[in-house]
Amino acid sequence: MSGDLEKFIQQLLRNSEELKLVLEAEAVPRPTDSDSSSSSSSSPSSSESETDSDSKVPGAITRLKQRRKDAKINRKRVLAVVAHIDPYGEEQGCVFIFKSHMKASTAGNTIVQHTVEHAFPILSGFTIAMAQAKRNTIDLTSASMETLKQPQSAEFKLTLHPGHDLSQRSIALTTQDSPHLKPFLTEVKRLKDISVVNSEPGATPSYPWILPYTSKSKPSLLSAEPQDLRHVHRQISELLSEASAGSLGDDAFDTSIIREFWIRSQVEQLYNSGSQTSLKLRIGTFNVNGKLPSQDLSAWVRGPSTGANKYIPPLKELSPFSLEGIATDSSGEGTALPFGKQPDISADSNASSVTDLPVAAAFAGKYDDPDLIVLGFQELDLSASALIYSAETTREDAWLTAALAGLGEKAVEYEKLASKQLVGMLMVVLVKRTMKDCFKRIQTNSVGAGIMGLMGNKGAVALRLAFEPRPTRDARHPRGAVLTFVNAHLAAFDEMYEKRNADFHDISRRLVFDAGAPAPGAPSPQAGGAPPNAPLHAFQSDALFWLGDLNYRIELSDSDARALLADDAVDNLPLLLQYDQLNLARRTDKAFANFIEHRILHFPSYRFNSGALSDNLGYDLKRKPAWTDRVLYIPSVAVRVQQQTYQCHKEITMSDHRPVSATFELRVPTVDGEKLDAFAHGLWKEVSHIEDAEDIPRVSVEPAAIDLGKIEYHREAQQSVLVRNTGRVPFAFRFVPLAPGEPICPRWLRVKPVAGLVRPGEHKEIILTTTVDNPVAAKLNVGDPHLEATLVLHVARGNDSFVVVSGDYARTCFATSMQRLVRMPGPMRMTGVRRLLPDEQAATAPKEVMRLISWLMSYGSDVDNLFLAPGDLAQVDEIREALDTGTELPVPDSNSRAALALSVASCLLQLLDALPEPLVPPHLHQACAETTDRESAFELLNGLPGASVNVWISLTSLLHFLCQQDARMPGALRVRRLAARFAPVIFRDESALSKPISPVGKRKFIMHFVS
Amino acid sequence: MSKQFQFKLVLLGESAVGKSSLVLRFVKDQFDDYRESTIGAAFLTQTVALEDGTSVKFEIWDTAGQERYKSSAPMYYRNANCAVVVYDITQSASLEKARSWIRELQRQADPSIIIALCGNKSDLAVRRQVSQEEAKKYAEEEGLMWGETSAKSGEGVNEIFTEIAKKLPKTAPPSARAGGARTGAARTGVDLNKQATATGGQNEPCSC
Ligand SMILES: Nc1nc2c(ncn2[C@@H]2O[C@H](COP(=O)(O)OP(=O)(O)OP(=O)(O)O)[C@@H](O)[C@H]2O)c(=O)[nH]1
Ligand SMILES: [Mg+2]
Repeated sequence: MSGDLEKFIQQLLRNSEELKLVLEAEAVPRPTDSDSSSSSSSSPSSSESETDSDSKVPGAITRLKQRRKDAKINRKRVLAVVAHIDPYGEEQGCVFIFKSHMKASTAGNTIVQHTVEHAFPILSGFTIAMAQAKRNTIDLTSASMETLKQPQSAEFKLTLHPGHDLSQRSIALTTQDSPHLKPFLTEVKRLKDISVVNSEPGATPSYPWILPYTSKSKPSLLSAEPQDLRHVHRQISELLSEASAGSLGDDAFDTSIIREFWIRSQVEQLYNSGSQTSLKLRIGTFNVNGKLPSQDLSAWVRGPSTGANKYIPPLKELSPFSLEGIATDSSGEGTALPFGKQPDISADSNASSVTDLPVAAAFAGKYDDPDLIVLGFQELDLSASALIYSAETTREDAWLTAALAGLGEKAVEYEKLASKQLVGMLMVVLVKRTMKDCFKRIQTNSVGAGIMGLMGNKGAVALRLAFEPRPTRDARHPRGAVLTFVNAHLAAFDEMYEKRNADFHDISRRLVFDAGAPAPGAPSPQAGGAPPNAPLHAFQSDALFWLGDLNYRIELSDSDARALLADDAVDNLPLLLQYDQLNLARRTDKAFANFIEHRILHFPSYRFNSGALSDNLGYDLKRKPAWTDRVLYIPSVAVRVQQQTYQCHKEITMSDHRPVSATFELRVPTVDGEKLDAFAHGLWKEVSHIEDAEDIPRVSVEPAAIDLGKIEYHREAQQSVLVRNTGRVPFAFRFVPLAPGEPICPRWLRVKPVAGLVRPGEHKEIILTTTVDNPVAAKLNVGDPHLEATLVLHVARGNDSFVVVSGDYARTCFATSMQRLVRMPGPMRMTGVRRLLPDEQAATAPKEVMRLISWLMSYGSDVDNLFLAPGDLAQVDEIREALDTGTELPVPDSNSRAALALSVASCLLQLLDALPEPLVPPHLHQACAETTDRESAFELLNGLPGASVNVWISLTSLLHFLCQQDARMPGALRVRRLAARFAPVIFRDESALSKPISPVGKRKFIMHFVS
Repeated sequence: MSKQFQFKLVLLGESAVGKSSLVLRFVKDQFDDYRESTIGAAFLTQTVALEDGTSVKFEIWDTAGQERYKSSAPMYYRNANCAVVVYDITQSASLEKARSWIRELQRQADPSIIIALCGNKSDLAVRRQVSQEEAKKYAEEEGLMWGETSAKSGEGVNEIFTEIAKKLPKTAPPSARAGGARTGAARTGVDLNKQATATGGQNEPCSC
């Protein structure tokens, strides 16, 4: 029997799923259930109508017998452990409960059919509790499975708890299938262990593959709480099943994904078209190094002042300087002084230092006062006793007082909304009094990530709140937004990069908010929120702000970092930031994936010292400067976040860090929550049945062939294709590759969107964009210039449609290797792809490069800022065209000469930058950067290929010549700037991941030849 | 109780010979005088019940005959268990094209593929250019199945698909759940209707 059953269940599963074990069971009838009615299922999946078998059976007695039989069948359940194997071979488990149904077959007899009644993803919260007769419940998780070893004949009661999803109730069943029970539970346990191990870094992992089985289950979008921001930012292409022309993927699964994205985008449109309200935030982070406030914090707390005249009102009790007394006191005894009862201070002591502060007049009036001020502190208290949790709030009070004092005359308009401290980490949130009632459901939490992972010398404190705008005429319950703020202090030291990333994931995973327990003193949670105890994840927000001392350092040597900061620092900041570990982590998705950080325009905020212990910029000589203090955010589709400032406040010098601040304006939709719900549910209803609609989807894709004409280097051209729904049911479509494992289109083409949903009578426009960047050009330059690609658009449960895209590529010397350029018998466009000169006849250097250099020698040597100022884009294109076709380079007249020279110089730089391999081969970079004298620099040139040496010599002579011209810039400065400009081109790094080679060393190498 | 087997079938042949029309007749028992030429490939399924109680479910890929789409055909006959190569009896050139498809299949497709040569538009016998003898002889030489059909009248259509169904080896597990499904490459099509079964759809119940 069970063998057949397995075979049968296996048939219900898709190929990506594997049936592990089955277990026969019976539903526990509820007291109200009569024998004839099946226990009604709470799952929306069993919505189909069952054929009434009664009519087929004549006679009352037989009918009664039949009813009993039906009832028994109706109670029958099959439990199945199913594992989904993803493309990486990872297993995800699920327990399905199948329900039996009687159904009349077309042949006239009744047959048994199974449908999915429940599906429980085997996540960390999932449990099966087991009890025998009247014995105590045994929890699987802590399972001693002794009960199972006893002689079997008994009936067991099983209770399945979903754990994670509280919309699902627990399910009670009985089973007599004892031989299968133990292996079944063991398998569940095994899958559960896997899920626990794999749950990092994600929160509650979603098991989207289950969706199609319970296809009527609603997407998470329709739930009351915001979606997980990490899922929101995932690309649809990462999620869709593997498929190609002629090999169907998992249409049902793809449909569920495409549908969810579609509903989300429709809702997004509603947000964007509706009215919005603005919310202003100021966020600050400050590692105070155990100090107590001793300086005016206004620059940090208040930011650009709105008034030109800074006036500090006589709020004596709030003055930061009143705290100096406490600072000394509390460091010893920890004497607590109640808020607002500070000792008297003299009025003039503050006046002088405060008026010294520079007031950025340019900002005056540009920013409104923030509605919310979120301040994150780290290393609030360095004393050993701080590690032991103490309820004292002395330091919090001191900083709160100082922060309010920093607000000056505005202080009266603000009050504390909430705060949270964990050892050295503190978050204080101030709110504008007039806005206080708009912030609801305030919750705080903290996680330790320090010593032993728990101590709390590192970790995070966080706060979650719901911003609910005031009702308007159109929106009685405006949707508003859930905002979460995390103030983190991650592992210190240069080499602890991986640990910082791990800390981030650890905090992300463990930081949850219990909806049932609001922060003490905060307004009580609103009715209608999440069900009690459903843990809410930090990422389940409409916008998440992550601030703190993240401790990421710069992956360069100490001397490089200092040297780059010392000269032309403003030009060097972007370069330094390339080597910033946080940026590296973000680029490689190691941590803070999908987070946004505003461009940093300020100097590193760490580590300062004074006197002989510091360099000219004030940085501690023993610690490499770093941007340890950061503010990042991750928005959802609902909230638009615009950052207005991102600053480091050098004038606040009391700590070894300088405080960092950021100002944001949020646009929060005020669309009515109920209207929004109705809209989203309406959409859902319209498209929730498309997998099992009876009608076959009909699609027309036009045009079926597109000629893109001339396809050029670095010039985007667009065309569009319309996907029309000519049928009567909505359909989901996606592009699939022609051959398995390939991309859906060649690299010179981009297709957007790659998937979508179209309702009857509607159409979706697909934009095709040609893009030829350097790597693509490198390939195309050596291939057939006629390009053609077949795009395959697959409609779920329907046809594959083809779109043939063609065009003719204009080959270019850009992105062509030096070795090839020297063997070209003529200009690129004028010679066939395969016609190359034999090696003996190769040119000594590429003509294209030489033409540009000699032009610059003749007409450009006295032009200011040559190579440093950008050229005109259109002119650069013209010059490139001249190189490729062999026509004359433009000859300048006296008016146009300077501008033209800048364009020729830009063209040369770009040509060098486009080389598939940099002018100096990568294996020599390290040696070049380490060269200390001229002679060994010249020696290194011997390692270069012949053509490169010739280019090198002509190029450096040109640069040398430029520096000798009496331009407005002093020679040495010009040398430095030119070296800085050419170093990243000539010594282009192969990948962002390889060990960085000193940028300063590269520059010095060039300077050996130029100065 | 009957067992169900599932096989992938691909239709090949010159444009306008009636591939799509044959499929429409077979799956829906309909015919259109004005059909648009196929751009891409259409996917349909149909089940044939055999006398021995088993049934064969065809996953049918109807390909585009136009020359410009020729390069995509291998994607569709890849992993196919059977192929129907169609010519138009009123166009002798279409038999030439059919021959070239057959050569390609013999070279490139799975060696165990079952190939049927199908002369369509038998209702237009007055304009016949390809004699039955010629086609039959060729089919015998190459070891192919052969038959004439009319998508318009329906003549011969079910017969040819049924013959293929009979000839297919019934050694594959029911529903042809490919053993190496997980490796991706060998993954056969997913039966869309299984989904409907799982959620109580209206298609025929599976037997067990
Ligand atoms: N008289 C007659 N006409 C037919 C028959 N089968 C198809 N046709 C007609 O032939 C034309 C082409 O038929 P299609 O089914 O579109 O041909 P196809 O092989 O799918 O063509 P492509 O999609 O371009 O590869 C249509 O006008 C059909 O009505 C048939 O058996 N008899
Ligand atoms: Mg067709």
